[in-house]
Amino acid sequence: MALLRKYFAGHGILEVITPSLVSYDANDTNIQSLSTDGGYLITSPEHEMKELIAEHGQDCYQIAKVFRQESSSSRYHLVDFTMVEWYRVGLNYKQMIDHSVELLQYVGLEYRSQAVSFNDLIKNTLGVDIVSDSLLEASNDLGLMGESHTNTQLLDFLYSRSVRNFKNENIYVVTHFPIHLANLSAPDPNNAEVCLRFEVFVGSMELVNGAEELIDGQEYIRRMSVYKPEAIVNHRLVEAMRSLSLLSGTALGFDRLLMALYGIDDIKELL
Amino acid sequence: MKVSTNEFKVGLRIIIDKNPYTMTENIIVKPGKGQAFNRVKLRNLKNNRMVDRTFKSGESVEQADVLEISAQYLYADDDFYHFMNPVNYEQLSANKEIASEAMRWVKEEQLCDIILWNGDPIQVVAPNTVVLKITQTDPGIKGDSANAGTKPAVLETGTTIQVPLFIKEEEMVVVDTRKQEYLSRSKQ
Repeated sequence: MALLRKYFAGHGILEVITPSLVSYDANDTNIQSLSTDGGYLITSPEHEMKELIAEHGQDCYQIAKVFRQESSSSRYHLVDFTMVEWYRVGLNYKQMIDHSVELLQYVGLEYRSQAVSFNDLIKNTLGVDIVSDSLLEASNDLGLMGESHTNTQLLDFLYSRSVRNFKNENIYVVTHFPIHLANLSAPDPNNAEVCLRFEVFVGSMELVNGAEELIDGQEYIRRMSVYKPEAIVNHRLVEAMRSLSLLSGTALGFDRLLMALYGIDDIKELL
Repeated sequence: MKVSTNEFKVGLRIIIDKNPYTMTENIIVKPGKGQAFNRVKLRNLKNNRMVDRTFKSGESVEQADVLEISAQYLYADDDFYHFMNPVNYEQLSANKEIASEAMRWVKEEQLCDIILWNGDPIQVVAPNTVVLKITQTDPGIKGDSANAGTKPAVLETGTTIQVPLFIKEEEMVVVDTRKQEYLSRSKQ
């Protein structure tokens, strides 16, 4: 924790604290918020931090408690966990990736890192070409059961299969996700099928999710209507996006960072 | 009856492609912010083969009506081995194809585990160890055979195993049915 703060201080990134109780529920399709009488608990401090940046335009980070509905038997998930999230104004996609890997190595994960695009990862490990092959056939061949699946679910399945091959004590950066999995990342200006989202793994455990951020409010609203129409659109975020220009952000699961640093197998051991 | 992934656990019996399976592993995976999946390992109860399958969390599967009981072996006829459930005196028949491997080690009145699916025996499992009589074996002469210190012997069920040279006909021995080996003389 001290090392993390030292790193951010060294880069002139300000620590902030934003509200934990908000009026909108999780905007991601597969994440459910915990709710209380006063509203919803945050599943990530993303919206609030972007609103802050829209106001004062400064790099900032936060070590936040976040809350997500979870099944109790996952080794890597907790309902209530700690997220380290930070934003750098003016940094682009590639710069943010380098910066995130540098941070992980700084706090002790001194492994070599390699980057691979989402499509290449799936092709190299599973022999499936996302662009031209049938996602459904490929998934069924790999043992996916059940009948109706959305493309997004099939992509999630193939992705989760392919990261199993990652070796321990290595850092892997997965880049250029399909646009269906974009969440709040910016679309790739060179390829409409792809977005500027990245994830960083240590072995096959995902530690970091980052992106060059979406700053088009209308696109945010459109994505919500397609991927999670039942969730509440956060109009304060739409408003904030109008004042944002080039911005990149990253979120790191602090509990998982500890698991990676100390060789812990089950997140519940940290409780 | 359907069971959802929330109820998945080791030992659960389900049906896939009309075959009964038992679950030997259940792991939940959730790629970054994506759909959660249950990754399971299953053993086909009819042919014992293992398979890997993945289910989207929240999906439901047909539960298999599988029961394991202990039954006593009675006798065999041309096509079947006949057993009796000592609890309710019900008779069951397992066809020779399914049971013959286990039956190499089983004599009359021996209790076996029988796996029933929808009431029909699909697997017969001999106990881990059994006590059987040696019905035929040559007197052991040291230095006589390629297997140092052992010789073949026929058990009362008709199966042949290797035994130490000092074992004589009519002796009772303990046999490990999984390794298919002689374990020791029996004190019975």
